[in-house]
Amino acid sequence: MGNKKRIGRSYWSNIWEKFKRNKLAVFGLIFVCILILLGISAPWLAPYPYDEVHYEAVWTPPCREFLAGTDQLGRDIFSRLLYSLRNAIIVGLGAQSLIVVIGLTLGLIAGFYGGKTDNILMRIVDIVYSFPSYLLNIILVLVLGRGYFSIFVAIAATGWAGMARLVRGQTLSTKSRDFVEAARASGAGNNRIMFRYILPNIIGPVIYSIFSGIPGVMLVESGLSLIGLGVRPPMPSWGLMISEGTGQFLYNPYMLLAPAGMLVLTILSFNFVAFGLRDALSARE
Amino acid sequence: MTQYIIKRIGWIIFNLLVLSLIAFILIKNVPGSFLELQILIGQAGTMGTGLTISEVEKVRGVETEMMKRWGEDVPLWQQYLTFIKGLVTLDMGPSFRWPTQTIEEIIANTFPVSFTIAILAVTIAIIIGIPLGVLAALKQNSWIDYLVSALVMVVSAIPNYVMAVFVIFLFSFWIPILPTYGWGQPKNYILPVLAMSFGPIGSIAGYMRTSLLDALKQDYIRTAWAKGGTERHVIFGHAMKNSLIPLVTILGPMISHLILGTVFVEGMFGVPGMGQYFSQAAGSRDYPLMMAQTVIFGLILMIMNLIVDIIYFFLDPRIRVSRR
Amino acid sequence: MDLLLSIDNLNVHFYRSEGVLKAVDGISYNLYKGEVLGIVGESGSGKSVSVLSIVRLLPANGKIVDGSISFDGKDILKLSMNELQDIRGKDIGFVFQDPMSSLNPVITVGQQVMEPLLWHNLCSREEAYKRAKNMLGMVGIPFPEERMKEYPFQFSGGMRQRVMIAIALICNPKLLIADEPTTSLDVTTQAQIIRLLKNMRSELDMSVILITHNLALTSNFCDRLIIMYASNMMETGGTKDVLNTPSHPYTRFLLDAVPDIEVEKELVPIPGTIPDLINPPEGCKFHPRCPMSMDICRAEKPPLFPVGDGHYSACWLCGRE
Repeated sequence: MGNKKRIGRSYWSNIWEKFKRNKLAVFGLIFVCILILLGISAPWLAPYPYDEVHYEAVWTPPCREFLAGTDQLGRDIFSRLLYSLRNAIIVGLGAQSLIVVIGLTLGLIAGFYGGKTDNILMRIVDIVYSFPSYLLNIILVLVLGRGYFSIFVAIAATGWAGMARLVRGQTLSTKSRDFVEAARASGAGNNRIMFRYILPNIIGPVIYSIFSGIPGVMLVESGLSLIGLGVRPPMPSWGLMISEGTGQFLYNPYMLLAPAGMLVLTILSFNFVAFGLRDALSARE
Repeated sequence: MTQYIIKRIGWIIFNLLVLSLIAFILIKNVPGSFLELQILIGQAGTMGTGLTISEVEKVRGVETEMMKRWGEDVPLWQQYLTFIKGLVTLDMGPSFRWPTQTIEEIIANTFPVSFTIAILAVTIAIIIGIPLGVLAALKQNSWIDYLVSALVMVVSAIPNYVMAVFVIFLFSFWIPILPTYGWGQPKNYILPVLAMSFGPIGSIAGYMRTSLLDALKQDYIRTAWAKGGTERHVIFGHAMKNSLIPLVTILGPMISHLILGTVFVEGMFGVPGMGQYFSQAAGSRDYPLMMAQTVIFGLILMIMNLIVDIIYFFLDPRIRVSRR
Repeated sequence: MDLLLSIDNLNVHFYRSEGVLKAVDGISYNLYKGEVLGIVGESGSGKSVSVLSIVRLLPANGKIVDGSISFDGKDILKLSMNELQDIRGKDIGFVFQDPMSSLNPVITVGQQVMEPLLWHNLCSREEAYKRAKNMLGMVGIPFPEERMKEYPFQFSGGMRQRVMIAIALICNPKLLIADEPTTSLDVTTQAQIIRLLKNMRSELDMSVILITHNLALTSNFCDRLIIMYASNMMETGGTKDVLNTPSHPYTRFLLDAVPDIEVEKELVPIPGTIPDLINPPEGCKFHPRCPMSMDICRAEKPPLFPVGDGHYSACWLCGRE
């Protein structure tokens, strides 16, 4: 356990130092936190309910009443944006958590036990990897019906493979390091070694994978809602707003620009954090 | 080498079988199968399917065939076997959504379209992305580097269907030189390819930059400098060779991503490709078509990955040359 | 004898996030034509950094902050990039420490050996090919014709180091700098490489700077020695003088640490660790570990005192006599 404590002190503070120096990454992290806060508090922050129509004020450009204008049914775009953000965060974190749980567990097991278990698991990973993921996402949503849970499952069902591969590789290279042998020599059991020795040491790349995976999940989700398979309307989602906005581009360009802009900003901030993490982690090696 | 290819092909066939099974099971469980719907609607005449009267006759004719293949009284395992047989012999019967066409015809017509767009997009991405990445790496931390890196990051964050709208707006409305809809001529390809290539340009430029910077830090580059090399010798004679090879590894996933991504973009441009047909098939629960397309997409993906692996094999001498 | 290389008060600093690391703190020496100079020291002593400065190949965060380097009458620090590139590889050949990573894995060995000739436009491609083939043979690689077309990973460590030497020597340089050429090789191969360097040196009549942390290697190859410790020169002189009558306490420790196959003796490790060069100790850098340190050692850095013919020692003890 002494080893882990020592790693805890200087390894992480080193990485944090390097991360802090990357201004973009820090900015991204702050932005991500702001976004998450905004998303969570959408029901309280939004000036209007997302489905309230104002037939007398359709296609209005941004003004004091409607901060981002209204769409073809007179619904406040700004409120809808907030709820879409909330939606995206829920899906992003939810699906990614599922991916982490499945991928991490399977990757650890495969890397740690090696041999036949590893072979079989990696074959399965290869097979899943070769599937056309978007198509299966669409099919799974069709099968499971609309709603948050089915989106989580649909995305995670193809997404866990990448995480599993990463974790397996990391486990393999950590497995042979001295402190693992030392732990074994002092009588630690398999589970203990896996979770208290190997896991803390591979968490770096895993966190990077999470941060760079969330944008991907958000893109898939918005792609799904673009073709009408996301969360049930009138609950808004960026993809849905984009598809509506595309058709109405000439009447009110903000219908498209607002959700597209928010989507891009969110993805960018996660990407900044991810790049910062990658630089901070690799410099260490 | 040939042994490796044969082994890979074996795995591809295996994977495809697994994929087809999974697709079959899943799609069969989608609520509201087309057949039930259409049989109900078909009773109501031409209005339901939007077909002409002569086509309806044809549909009535193929209805029996469809019942034979996919009907209620045919056991599931037999349906699956028919499906597999159909794939292999390229005789998959009519589509539900477009009963006047067989599935093979649809795929044969639409696949080249999507594939061409994807390949063109990758080619453009390579032609533009690599020089951009090299430029950014060589002028690291200068304004050029920051500009390129910023552009790269922003562009890769914009999903291709959003890019599609901007591209349409830019080149069809603002500077009306290119058509948005319509198909058949080379100029119809420009906008979709453009929209789809921005993301890959970003990825390739970014990856190239990182790869080149990594290569330049290596010991063997120091040796090259010590031999009296100029920038031209060291960067283009040595470092580029080392940094281009890993680039190939991202090409595989990128091409797959592009081919799949057509699903979202084709609708916007009215491109009659596999992607659009898939989303429409999904919308109308046309499951024979969906199943066939899933397997075909999967096949394309696997073949592209195999080709990329083979290219990598030839490029990297460490893998190519056998040990003495 | 003719002067080939002259280094005067060289100071090299590395700029790190933790502070400025003073890797080389004012060293000066001369090298004459045909001489073999050995620079010996532990890792971190600054020996590699000092010779990398000669060809200005320091890493990005390193800078030559003071001093002058003169090679064959030219002021190295004032040369333009073109002039510098002309000297590198042609007049000065460099052999690096790690043959595993110092050769480009995706380019053929033949091509890499030919490059110094081609890049300096010294001959045609066909001629370069012939010369490279000859060179590979001279450094002891069998079947050079076939091996020219192979890649570095197909060579063993010792063979790769020979390739590096071939690359360094192909243009017949006036000076060969070998930075720990044997460190990553096994003992038998080490001896072979040193023997190769000796032969090549007499064949081509050039000067050599050999850097190593292994004193034993220097005894029958080097004419003169410089002992470095923590960015300073501790002792310098003819090899026999330094090895037989070492004047500096550090040198004596180094010699004691060399196992002797004939005499059974205790291996005496030097107590303490090398100092932090970002905040180096005052005075003589060795004083924290020196059993004979006096008050003056802690206060002032000793200059090089003469202790014999061409033999100098940077120790206050020698200043007394």
